[in-house]
Amino acid sequence: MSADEIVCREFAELATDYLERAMPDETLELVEEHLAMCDWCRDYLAQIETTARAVGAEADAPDTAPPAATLQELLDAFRARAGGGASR
Amino acid sequence: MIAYKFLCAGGVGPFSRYAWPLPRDGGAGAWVASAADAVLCHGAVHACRVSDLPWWLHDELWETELDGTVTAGRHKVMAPRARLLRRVEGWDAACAQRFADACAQRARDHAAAALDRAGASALAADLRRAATTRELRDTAYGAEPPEAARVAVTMAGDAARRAFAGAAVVTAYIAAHAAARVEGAEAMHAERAWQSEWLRAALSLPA
Repeated sequence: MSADEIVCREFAELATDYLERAMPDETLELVEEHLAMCDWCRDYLAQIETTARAVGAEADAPDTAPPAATLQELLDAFRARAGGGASR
Repeated sequence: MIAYKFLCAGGVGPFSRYAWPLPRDGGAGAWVASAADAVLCHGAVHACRVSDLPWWLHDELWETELDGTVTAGRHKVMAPRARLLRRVEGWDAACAQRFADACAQRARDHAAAALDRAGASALAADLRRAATTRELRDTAYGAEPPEAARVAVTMAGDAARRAFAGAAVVTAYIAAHAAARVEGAEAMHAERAWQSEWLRAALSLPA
């Protein structure tokens, strides 16, 4: 990241931290400067917020939660992928 | 300290989405304290100095009083609390468009300088003759500049395209980068200073 500004690709990496307010003030200023002038990244941020709300609402609904076995399968798949296992 | 805040239409913070208490009955708006409202980011109310204005252009500009210890960021100031004093009525869509057009013309001038240096003086003259934003956009995008000036001419076209769409903050950003591209990094600061001064003069803000 440049000391003077960030570009869209860098914003994409910081978007979740921005929504969670998990960044130092200096980075926050760079992010908001970028957002002030980049309508693409504002749209991207809005999409992430919408997705997070939708996923959160689903996760909070007990009757739509996946079965324990499915969750375990997913976790195993993520771990395998994170550990360098085969990916599809 | 007196500073400024750009807000969305209706006095809403573009990042916090906080609806600022507006001045009414000739008086200032209510004080907003950062600690009392978690919506405001990182425990401070943010505003800008005249020199910071080009980075934050938005629908409405408000003169703002900051209270408490004011700290300065690169392009903003922060304080524990603030209140809106008055709307700067001179900042409206028409003023934003004039500013965007002026920035596009600045990007044009940087591109023309790059063309002159690259030995393409005829094309530089064509670009300088582009008096309107539409003409500038069409001339820049239709040009076949030498490689040394290609990016600068494209930036001039992009600046005109964004100005034509009314995107003042983006046009200002492109003009600043066009300056840096053609004249070096320090020229970006000079371009931003020119933009701040344009806004200060157009809006009759104190120096």
